[in-house]
Amino acid sequence: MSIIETVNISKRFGDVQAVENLSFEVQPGEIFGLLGPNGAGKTTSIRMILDIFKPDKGEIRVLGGPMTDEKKNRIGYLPEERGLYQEIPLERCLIFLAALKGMEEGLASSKLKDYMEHFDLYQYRDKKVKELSKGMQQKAQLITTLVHDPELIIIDEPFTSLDPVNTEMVKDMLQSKRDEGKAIIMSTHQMNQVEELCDRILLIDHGHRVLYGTLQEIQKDFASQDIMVTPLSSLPDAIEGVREIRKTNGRFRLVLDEMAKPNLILKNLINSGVELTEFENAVPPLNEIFIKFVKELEGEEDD
Amino acid sequence: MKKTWIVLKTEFINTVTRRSFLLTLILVPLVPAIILGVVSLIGSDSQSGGIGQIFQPSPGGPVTDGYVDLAGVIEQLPPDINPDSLNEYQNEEAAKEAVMSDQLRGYYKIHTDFLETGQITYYRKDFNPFSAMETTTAVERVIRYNLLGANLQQYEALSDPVQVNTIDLAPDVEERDTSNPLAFYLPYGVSMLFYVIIITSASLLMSSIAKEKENRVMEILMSSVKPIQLFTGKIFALGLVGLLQMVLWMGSGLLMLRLGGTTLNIPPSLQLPAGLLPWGIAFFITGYLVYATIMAGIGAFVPNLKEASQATFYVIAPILIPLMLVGVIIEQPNATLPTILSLIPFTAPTTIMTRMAVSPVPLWQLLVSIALLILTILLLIRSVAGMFRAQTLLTGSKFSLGLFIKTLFSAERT
Repeated sequence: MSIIETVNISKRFGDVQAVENLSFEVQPGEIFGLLGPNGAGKTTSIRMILDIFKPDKGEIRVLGGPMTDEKKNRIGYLPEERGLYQEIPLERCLIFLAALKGMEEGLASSKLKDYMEHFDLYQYRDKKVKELSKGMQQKAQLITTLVHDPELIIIDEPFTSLDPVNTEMVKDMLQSKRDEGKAIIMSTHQMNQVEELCDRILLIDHGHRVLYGTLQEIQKDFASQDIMVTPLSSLPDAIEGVREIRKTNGRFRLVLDEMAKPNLILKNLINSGVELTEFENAVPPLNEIFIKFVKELEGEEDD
Repeated sequence: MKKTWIVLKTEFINTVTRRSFLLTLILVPLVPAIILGVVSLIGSDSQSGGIGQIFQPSPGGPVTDGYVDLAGVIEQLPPDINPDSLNEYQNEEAAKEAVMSDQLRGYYKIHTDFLETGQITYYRKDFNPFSAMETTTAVERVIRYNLLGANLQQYEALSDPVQVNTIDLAPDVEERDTSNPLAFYLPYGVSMLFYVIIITSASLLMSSIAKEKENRVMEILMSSVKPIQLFTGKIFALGLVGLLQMVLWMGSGLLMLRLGGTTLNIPPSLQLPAGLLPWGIAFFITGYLVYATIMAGIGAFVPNLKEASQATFYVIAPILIPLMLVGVIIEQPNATLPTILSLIPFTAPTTIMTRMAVSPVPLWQLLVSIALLILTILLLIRSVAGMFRAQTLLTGSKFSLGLFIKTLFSAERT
C-alpha cells in the first residue's frame, strides 16, 4: 500500500497555476526526493498532502485514504520556513508541539529527553528558544518532526544550518527511519544529498511532473556512452574506439566513437597492459540532469 | 476537542507566566489601593487631625480679619460667624498697624459708597489667593446679614434657599455622597479598568497570532491542528486570562472599598454595587469576545506584529468613545446618549459598567445590550473563522481598513 498517492492534483492561486495534474506515489521504506527549482510547486504540493491546502481538483490519499485529524498525528513535518515559539523555554515549546501530535505529556517528556540528549540540546532545555543558535533551533525542529515516531516524514531542506557532524547524524537518522519502514519525502536543492539518500525522485517545474522514477533509472536514461576509468598506471595516448580522453578528479573520462562498445574498450585497455581499479559507465550527476532539464524547459517556454 | 484544549492550556500558561503580565497583575490594584488609602485618610482626618493635617495650612499665622466700615453697613455679626474671627477697626491706620504687627491676617475696607457700588477692598500682608477666597465668603455673609436687617430667618433662607431631597424609586438605590472625591473617581476607575482589561486581552490574542505568523510556527501548527481549533483555543485561553485579571482587579477593588468602610472611613454609599461583579463578568465576556474576534481577524490578516499593532487603533476607537464621554455618562447616566451607547455592542461594555458604578441601570437595557452583543459575536465569529484559513495564515498583507473589512465579509473557506 502506498503511503501517499496523488492523482492529477491541481492548485491555482489567483493567476498562478501552482500545481497542475500532478500524480505520484510514495512507498513505505523509501526516501523520496521532491525536487524542482524555486517556485516549481513543491511546497504547495506538500501543503496539499498535509491538508493545509485543499486541491482545486484531483485526489490525494494519505496513509490509505483521505486526511483525518488522527492521521495528522502520524505525520512529521519540517517546513522550509522554520519556526518555533521564541519567548518560551525550549522544553515547553517541544512538549506543546509534541502534544499537538497526540502524544501524552509524560511520554513526550521522556522521548524528548532522549532526543535532546542525542542532539546535545538537553542542557539548554530551560533556555528560551530565542537564546539558542540557528543550528540548535534547526535540531530542535528536527526533534519536533521525529519525536512522535511518524509513519510519514516530510522534510524541506533538512540540512540547512547544520555543521558536517550534525548533517551526518541527521542523514543516519533518516536512513534508519527508512530501514524501519517509514516513508520520507525530502525536498532539497542539495543534489549530492539526494544522490546519497534518495531511492526515488520526482522533479517538478511550473507545477508539472518532469521526471519521476528511481534515481538509477533516471541517471541511466541520461547516461552517455562515456566510460569512467581509474588506472593504476598511465593510460596510452591513443586507445582504439576512444575519441577523446579527459582527466577529471584523478579519474579519466573516455569519450567513445559512435559505434564503439564498452567491452571492446576494456579489452583494448587490458591488452595495452593498463591496470585498472575502476571501469564503469559515466553516470551524469543529478545536478547536471536537473540543470539540463530546467534549462530545456525554460528554452521551450521562451520559444 | 483535545487539541483545542492543548492550545488553550498552553496559551494560558505561556501568558500568565510572563513576567510583564505578573507585574501588571499585581501593580494595577496596588497603585490605586495606595492612592485610595491616601485620599480616604485625607477625607477622614480633616475633622480628627492626623495624616489629613499634612495637607492643611500650618496653624502658625493669625486667623483673624479686621474691617473698617466707612459705609456704616455692619451693626452686628450673624450667629454663625465667630466674633473673634472678625474685628472692627475705626480707621484704616489702626487696621493697617494690626496687620503689620501680625495681629490680623488682613482687613476689609467697606467704602463709603458701598451701597451704590458694592465695593470692598481687602488689604493683606502677602499674596495668597486661596486664603483670600475663604475670608471673602465670611465678610459677604456678614454684610448680607446686616443688609437683611439682622433678620436671622431671612438670612438663613437666603443662604440655603432650596432644599431638594431626591428619592430614586428604582430598587437597590443608595444615595451617593458626591462630596467625597471617591464618588467622582470611582466610575472613572471602573470605566478605565474595563477598557484596559478588554483591550489588553484582545490585544494579547492579536499579538499571539501575529507572532506565530512572524515566528513562522504557523505552518507547523497548521500541519497538526485545524485553524478553527487554534482560534477557539486561543480565544478561550486569553478570555480566561482577562477574566482572571478582572476578577482579581475588581475583587481587590471591592475588597478595598469594603475594608475602606471600616478602616478608611469610606461612606457605605460609595461602595460599588454588589451587582457590578456578576454583570461585569457578563459584559467582560461579551465585550472581550467582540473585540478579541476582530483582533484575531487582524492577527490572521497581517504578516507580522508591527503591522498588527498599527491596525489596533481602528479597533480601539469605538471603545474609546464612552471613555471620552465618561463625564457626560456620570452626570446623567440614564439620559439618551448613555442609553444609546449602552445598546451599541462596541460601546456597550464600558458604558454599562460606568453607568452601573454611578447608578442602577434598568434591567431591560442590560438584557437587550447582552443580547445584541451575543448577536454581534456570532456574526463576527462566522466572518473571522472564514479568515482563519491556511491561505491567509501563511501569507499576510499590509493592513488597510477597507481591505480588512472586505476580507472579513467575503472570507471564503479553503
